[in-house]
Amino acid sequence: MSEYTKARTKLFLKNYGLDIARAIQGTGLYFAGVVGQKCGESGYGTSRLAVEYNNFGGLIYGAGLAGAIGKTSKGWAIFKTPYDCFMVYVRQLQSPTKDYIKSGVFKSNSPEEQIKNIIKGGYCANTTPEAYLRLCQGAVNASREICGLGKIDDLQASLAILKSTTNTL
Amino acid sequence: MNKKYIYTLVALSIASGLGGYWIYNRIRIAKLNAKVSTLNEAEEAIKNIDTSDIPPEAREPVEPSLPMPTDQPAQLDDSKYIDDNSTDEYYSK
Repeated sequence: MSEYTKARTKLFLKNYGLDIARAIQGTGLYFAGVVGQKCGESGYGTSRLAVEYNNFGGLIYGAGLAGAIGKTSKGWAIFKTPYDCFMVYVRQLQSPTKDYIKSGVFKSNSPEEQIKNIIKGGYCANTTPEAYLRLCQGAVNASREICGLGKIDDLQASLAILKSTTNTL
Repeated sequence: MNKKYIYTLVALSIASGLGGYWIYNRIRIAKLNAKVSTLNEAEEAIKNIDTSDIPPEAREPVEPSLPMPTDQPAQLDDSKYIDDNSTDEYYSK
C-alpha cells in the first residue's frame, strides 16, 4: 500500500467513515471492504458525482429509488446526504430480488472474500472478481490499518429497540 | 566452503525472518477481519484520525479507479423499507 493511497483513504474515512459505519451496522458487511469499494468508485470521495451529488457509486436514478432526491442531466441519482447513498448500496446487496445473498456476500470471512462475492452476485459485469479486488485492495488494506474496524455490530439498534420497548411499558 | 556455509546461513535467516513476518501479518489481518466493532468504537476511531499530515497532492481530485456498477438499484422495491436511522423523510415511507 502506497503512502498516497493511505493518505487518501485516511481523508475519505475522516469525511465519510461514520456514515458508512452507520449504514452497514448490523448487516454483516465488512467496514474495510465497503470503504475500499466506495473509495474506488468515488475517487476517494473526490469525484464530481460524490462531491456535488453525494453519489458515491455511479448510481443511476430510477423512480422510487429511496433516498434519491432527483437526477442530473445525465441521469445520475442525486442524494441528499452521503449516508442516503450508502444505504441504497446496502439495501441493494440485501435485496431478495438480487443475487448477492445467494453468492455468499453475507457469509464471507473477510472483506476480500466479500468483495469478490459481490462481483459474483452480478454487481459489475465488466470485470472479474479478482481484477476488481486488485483495484480496491490498497484502500481495503489502508482502512484496516487506519481504523482497525471489522464488521459493525447492531448493538445500537438493539439498544434503540430496547429503549422504545421500555418506554411503551 | 566456509563462504558457502555463511551464504546459506544468511539466506536461511532472511527466509525465516520473512516467513515469520508473513505469518505474523496473516494472523494480525485475520484477527482484524474477525473483529466486530460497535458504532461507538467506530465513532471514536474515526474521530481520532489525524489528517493534518496529509500532503496537498493527496487532496486533489482523482478519477474513480473502479468500474461503475452495471447492476443498478433503480428497480428496488422500496415500498416496505423503513429506516429509523434516516436523516430525512425519504426513508420514512
